[in-house]
Amino acid sequence: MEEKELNKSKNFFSWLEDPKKTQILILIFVIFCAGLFFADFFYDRHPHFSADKIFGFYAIYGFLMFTFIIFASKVLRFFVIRSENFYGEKAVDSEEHPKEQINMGEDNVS
Amino acid sequence: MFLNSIPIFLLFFLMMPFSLIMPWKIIRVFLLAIPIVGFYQILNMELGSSYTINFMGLNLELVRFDKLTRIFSLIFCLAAFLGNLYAWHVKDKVQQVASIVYSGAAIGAVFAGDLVTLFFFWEGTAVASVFLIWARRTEGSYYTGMRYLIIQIISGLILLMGTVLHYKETGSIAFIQFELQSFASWLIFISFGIKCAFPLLHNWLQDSYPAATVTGTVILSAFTTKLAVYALARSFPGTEILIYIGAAMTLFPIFFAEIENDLRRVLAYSLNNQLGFMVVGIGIGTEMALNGTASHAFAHILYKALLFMSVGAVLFRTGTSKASELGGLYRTMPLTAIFCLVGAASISAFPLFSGFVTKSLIMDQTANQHYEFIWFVLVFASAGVLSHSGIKVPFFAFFSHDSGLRPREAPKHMLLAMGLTSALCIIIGVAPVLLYDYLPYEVNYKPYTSYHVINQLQLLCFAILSFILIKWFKMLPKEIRSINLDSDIIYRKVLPISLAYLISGLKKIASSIKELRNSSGRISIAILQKLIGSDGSISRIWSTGNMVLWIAIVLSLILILNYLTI
Repeated sequence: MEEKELNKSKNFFSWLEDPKKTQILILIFVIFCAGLFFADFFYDRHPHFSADKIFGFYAIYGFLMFTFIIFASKVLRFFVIRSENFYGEKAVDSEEHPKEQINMGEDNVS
Repeated sequence: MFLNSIPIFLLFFLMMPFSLIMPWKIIRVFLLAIPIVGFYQILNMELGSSYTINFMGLNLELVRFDKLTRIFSLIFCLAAFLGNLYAWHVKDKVQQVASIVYSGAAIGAVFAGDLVTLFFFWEGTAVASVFLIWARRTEGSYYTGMRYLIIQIISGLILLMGTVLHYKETGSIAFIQFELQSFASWLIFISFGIKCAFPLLHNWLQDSYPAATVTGTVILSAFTTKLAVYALARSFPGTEILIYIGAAMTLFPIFFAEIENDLRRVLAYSLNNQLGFMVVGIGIGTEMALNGTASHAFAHILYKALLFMSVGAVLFRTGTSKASELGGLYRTMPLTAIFCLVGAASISAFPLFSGFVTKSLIMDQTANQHYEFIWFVLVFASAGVLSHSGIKVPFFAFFSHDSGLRPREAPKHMLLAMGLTSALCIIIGVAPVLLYDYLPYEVNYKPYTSYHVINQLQLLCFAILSFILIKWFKMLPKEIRSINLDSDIIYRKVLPISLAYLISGLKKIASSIKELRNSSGRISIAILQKLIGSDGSISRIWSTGNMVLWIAIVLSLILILNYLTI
């Protein structure tokens, strides 16, 4: 039974279990990104303003802004985080989802 | 043909009396059949057709069919079909009837050619949809539903006030383009703004959507806010203030979404951010920008429903949608994971997915109309969309660390609904012409140019690169069981507490003047008699318009007071 369950859970994502394979994937992605960055040499660019004339503008902007979002939201969290029970029973945050509305077991949908 | 002689939305309402006697197994067949019939009927309707009735001296235009109506009513039918398919297992008649009446009211509102009809359906969506929240049947969902209902009803009452004033000023109730000048037009604008979740009026959205049932949230996500987008596109295209409101809407939800633990609330913030793009398009107001808004609304309804469906399936199988409790579900829910990734790629606007071909219409117009600052904000917001909807939702639910949960794959009908929605997202992305043909104006734009594809890939891939690095250094915001304060603190905590203080203060004053009351009682009754007695100044003849206006004002006040005390 246990083995069967394990087999069942093998699917097209299973290679993710292997850290080596994920590292190779990340490496390929980094090479792809480098290629994208230097792709700016090879096509007809259509800048709208002065800033996006800069070489590799979209790559740089995307990278910096994403980093900014993560760190800025950590700062925001410092101020706004509260316990799940902050609004008490007048909110759904601290309550369990009703058992009868979920179905973890067999489907009996006809 | 018989079908063409009855307005589409009536199809949805005809369901109601039947549903009382029919078993749920038959109702759910109707729930799928009615949107299909509606879709077919809309496709075959003649542009420019109209259906007017005379009601108490007012000419009510129940059906006004043009290209803007067509695109929104088509997507509403599609969303109703997909949402109901996803909810195939639901045996709860309350939810079944609520979802069909809700979608019918939304379609009715899109067809409305005058403000009175619009008001009727506007409130209809509010009343019907709240049952999708209450159907969770917990104390928390009861209070949340109350808050939601009151805000939605207030939006409707403000619309009614605006309509009455507008009628008094112009003698017209036509639902057409308005200049944002008179007080009446501002009221209508704010009413739309509440439903569209403008900044500071937005909290009902993040408060209520995560409180609905598994399937209720999917249905809720499609209609209310996009109805408001439609109303704004109809009445206020080219209103410049909308550009700045929209830009603000794209910005602030990003940060809240990044630190929110409940993935359904993350998606609600992300919905808010996507509405911002549409509102910017309306504010720019050129034909192409409005095309952008309409097409983005169309694509957005699909991929947002898809994301809500996938997180809903996780909730259905694990009992939670909280990032802190989830992770590693790809092992046993691989198909749901793939559908979630399709939704994530679509909302992040990867080439070949639907967001890419619709959002770019708005971005392109922002640049062409020389809104440089706004353009930078929107590009920034695009990176933000990737961060919460593109990465966070699929990553924390299906990948990330192993939570140890091994739930079953979603039920077949959910997989089918998600599969169909995914297919639509990809079809729109691969063959945008299919969607462009149904937009309000002729489309003169090619999304697949080398610079556009490369620039978009650069933006997204380098943002992902940043994510990988931050993850590598273990500096991502942790998933913690928590909530975050937002502006709703004002009406959920600050105002009720101050009101309680005020009331206790007033009680003290009241008791101290109690002694005086006996002697002064007679005098005050006499004053009241003068004002509202049979000859009193206030009770003299009032016009009906005034009465309706005052009733709306008084009702709003009562609602607000109620709000503060629940």
